[in-house]
Amino acid sequence: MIKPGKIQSLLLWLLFMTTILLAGCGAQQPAATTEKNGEISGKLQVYTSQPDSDISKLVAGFTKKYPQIQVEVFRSGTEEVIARMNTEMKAGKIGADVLFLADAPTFEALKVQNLLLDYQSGELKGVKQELLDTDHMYSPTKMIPIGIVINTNKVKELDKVDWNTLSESENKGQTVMPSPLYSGAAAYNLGIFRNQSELGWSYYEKLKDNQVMVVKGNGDVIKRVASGEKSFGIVVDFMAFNAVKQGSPVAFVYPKTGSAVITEPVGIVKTTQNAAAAKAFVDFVLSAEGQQLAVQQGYLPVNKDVNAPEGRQAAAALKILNAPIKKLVEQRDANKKDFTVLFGG
Amino acid sequence: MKRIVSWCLLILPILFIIYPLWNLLTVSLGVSTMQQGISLTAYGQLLQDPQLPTVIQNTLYIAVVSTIASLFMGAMAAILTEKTDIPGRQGWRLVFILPVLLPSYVISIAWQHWAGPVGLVNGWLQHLLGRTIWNFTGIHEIVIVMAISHMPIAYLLVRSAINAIPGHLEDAARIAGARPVTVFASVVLPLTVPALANAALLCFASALDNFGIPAFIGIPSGITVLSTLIYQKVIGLGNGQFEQAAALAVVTGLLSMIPVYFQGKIFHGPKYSREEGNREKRVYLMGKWKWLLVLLIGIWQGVTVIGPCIAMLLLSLAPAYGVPLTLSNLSFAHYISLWTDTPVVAAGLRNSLLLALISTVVVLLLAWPLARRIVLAPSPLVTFLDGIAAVPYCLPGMVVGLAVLLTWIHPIPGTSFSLYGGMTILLLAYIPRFYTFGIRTWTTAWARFSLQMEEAGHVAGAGPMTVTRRITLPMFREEALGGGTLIFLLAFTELTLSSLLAGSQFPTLGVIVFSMETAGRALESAALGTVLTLLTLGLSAGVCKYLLDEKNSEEKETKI
Repeated sequence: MIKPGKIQSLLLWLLFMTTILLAGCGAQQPAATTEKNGEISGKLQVYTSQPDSDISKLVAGFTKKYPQIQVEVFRSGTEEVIARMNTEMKAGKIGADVLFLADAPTFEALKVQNLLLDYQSGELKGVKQELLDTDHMYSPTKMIPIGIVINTNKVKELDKVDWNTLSESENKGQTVMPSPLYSGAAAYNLGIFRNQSELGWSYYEKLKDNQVMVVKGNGDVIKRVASGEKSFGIVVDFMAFNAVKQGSPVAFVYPKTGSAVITEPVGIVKTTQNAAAAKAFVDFVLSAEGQQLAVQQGYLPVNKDVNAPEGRQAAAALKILNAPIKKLVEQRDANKKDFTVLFGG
Repeated sequence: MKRIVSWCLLILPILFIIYPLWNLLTVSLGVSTMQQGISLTAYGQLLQDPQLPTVIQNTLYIAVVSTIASLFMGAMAAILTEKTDIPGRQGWRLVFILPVLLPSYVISIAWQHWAGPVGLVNGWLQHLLGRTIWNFTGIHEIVIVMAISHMPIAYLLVRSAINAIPGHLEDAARIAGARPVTVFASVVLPLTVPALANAALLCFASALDNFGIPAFIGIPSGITVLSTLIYQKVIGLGNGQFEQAAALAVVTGLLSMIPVYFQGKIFHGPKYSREEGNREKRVYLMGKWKWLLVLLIGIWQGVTVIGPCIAMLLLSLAPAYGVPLTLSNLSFAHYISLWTDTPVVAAGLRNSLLLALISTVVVLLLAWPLARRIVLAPSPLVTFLDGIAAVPYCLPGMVVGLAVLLTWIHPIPGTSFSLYGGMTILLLAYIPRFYTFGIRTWTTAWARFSLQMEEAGHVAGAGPMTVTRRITLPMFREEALGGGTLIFLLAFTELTLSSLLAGSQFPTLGVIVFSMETAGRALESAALGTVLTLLTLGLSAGVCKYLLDEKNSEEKETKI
């Protein structure tokens, strides 16, 4: 009774055409390196756990020097970046050229999976030998100690604050910390604490008994302490100092017992289509200019020839907690599992 | 040609709806892995998971309690705006619908800054009383926000049930000597029961489906529900969890079938004849009480909707977290940094716009031929296809998202090309998900359209193209605009599907707000939330105004 208008078939044809076109869009082929007149160009995809504002300033500095390179950034917590890469491997292609994530054990695990490219930057002279990877698969870029951020409206005696303060019953329900299932810094901290006789796994159990709140990222920790929702937070130092600078009512303490220090390494993915640009990026992060930029953003530099941010202790003056990196890599998954059981994911 | 269209109508749903869901089931049964045959390993592991009972308990508790609250609020609101003569009803109506237009994650952000532990309200109380009165955290906060954001569902259904009641029923009761209160309690209320039952099922299903609220409020406070658990199994923990996630999705999918099962059992409300003269609705005079009611309604809307939005706006203007906002330190820095410091926001805006536009157009186009057949040439096959189209929306979004992910992630055999990471995989989820909205749009349009109009065109010598362009489409402008706007808004602010499917190169707005919130960039996410709120409201207000002007219909009321 009804004649289907020609319009219907036309529309369906259009639909098929768009589908095909879209399939084309999905297959963004990475531009191969083109070195015209010695200038490096092309696309560079960076996966990082750095805060957005920090990485975008770094990228701005980098592209000023290499205007022919287009950098694209994907940011999430270290553990989520890794999960994203695992998903991409199932899809058959890792999108990243450069990885710029929280801690060395993460890169050790990637090294074992044979995912990284061997590259020894020429900018590593000022870096302490023991921080370097002997296989040159990744390079440390900063010194980021993990300590305690305190709300100064709620807590007055800052000097006495140490790790044990957080598990004291008078501070019940007053602490917030990032989740090792999301944050690489938190996962590293958990690994280090587990290997310290005076802290250990029992420290986390004590925190749990003391009703610690677990949020995803370090930024969220700062937010909840700055707003006064919580008094104490376990957090990476630079975020706390930046919050102080912005006028939030917080202070930061390096606990006397010691701090775990992450080095935010940078590494190149083996399957990169643009190794030249990736290497240039690594060099830039490690160069004096890149290190100065990090200092302006409140980080302690990894290059000992570059000064710490004004009014801050140098990394060398801090008590650093350590553990063998092999052990940290081996324990990582078990740590996350135990954490999930204790805190319920 | 007709045959080609018919085959497409059959094949596309099989390929893009049935196949992914079938694939989800087979993955959960371990068919795709090395072992041949079916294995229940993933389900076994799931049962051993000590978390699971708590998670299911949380999910059901939230769904049941928030549904009851939504029903109560929605019914009250509908009675107040439809059956009383309080002033400013048109305005109140719009505010009551507002939460359904905003994405639930924006409501979560807004609510946290309004009534969260350190929200605006607690700040005032602290200032006035020296202490806070309540501390909504965790599961209670989720329940409250969910009740608010699903309230419009109940409101809209009960409202249309009330408005459909012919006035002469109430007149008859009045003539028989009943007082207004009795008329209301014994005539009006019983007639809203079917609508209430339907609303309950829809609210319950929406609560199971919701991801934004448990993700934004639940994850930081350690409250896990089924949708966030699936998400965490896929995104949070990395490798080897796909089978378990699939098993979990199958369980969740089965759970969501409960309301669908009951839907068939419900007594569907009375059908009234729509003769002229019955249309007038009766409203009850509130006399002096009406100003008290206005005050109550104002406070209610202030607390649940307007207050939170203002709190979000104020926070986005604060210079830093924990610093009280004053007129002198008010700053737009976070709005600016959205563009300067975070190029991903601009990319997300572009991506989401593109996705929403394409989804809307494709859904409306694809739905056209099917809707035409549903109305004009119904057959068992057509009814079946209509039912299939509803499946991706009835199932929780996380289940659909995972099915699409598992189906299309693998590289196309023989190539290294995978759909994952680009726009295509998102469209393959969005289009099936919103397909049913397109069908509803056109079937409502055709239902009130007389075929004679088209035939008149044919008789006058116009070809099918001309008839569609000059007669059919102009008549459907209203429905197309309304339905299209709905699909556009849903796709534009989508979070659930894209949280699983958006690759690093193609982030959507929802995913960006989510990642800002987890990174603790509360001021920027409040700024982006405010921008989204204004965009959404602007668009829907514009469309509403256009449709109302178009209709120019006046409500007839008789007061009793």
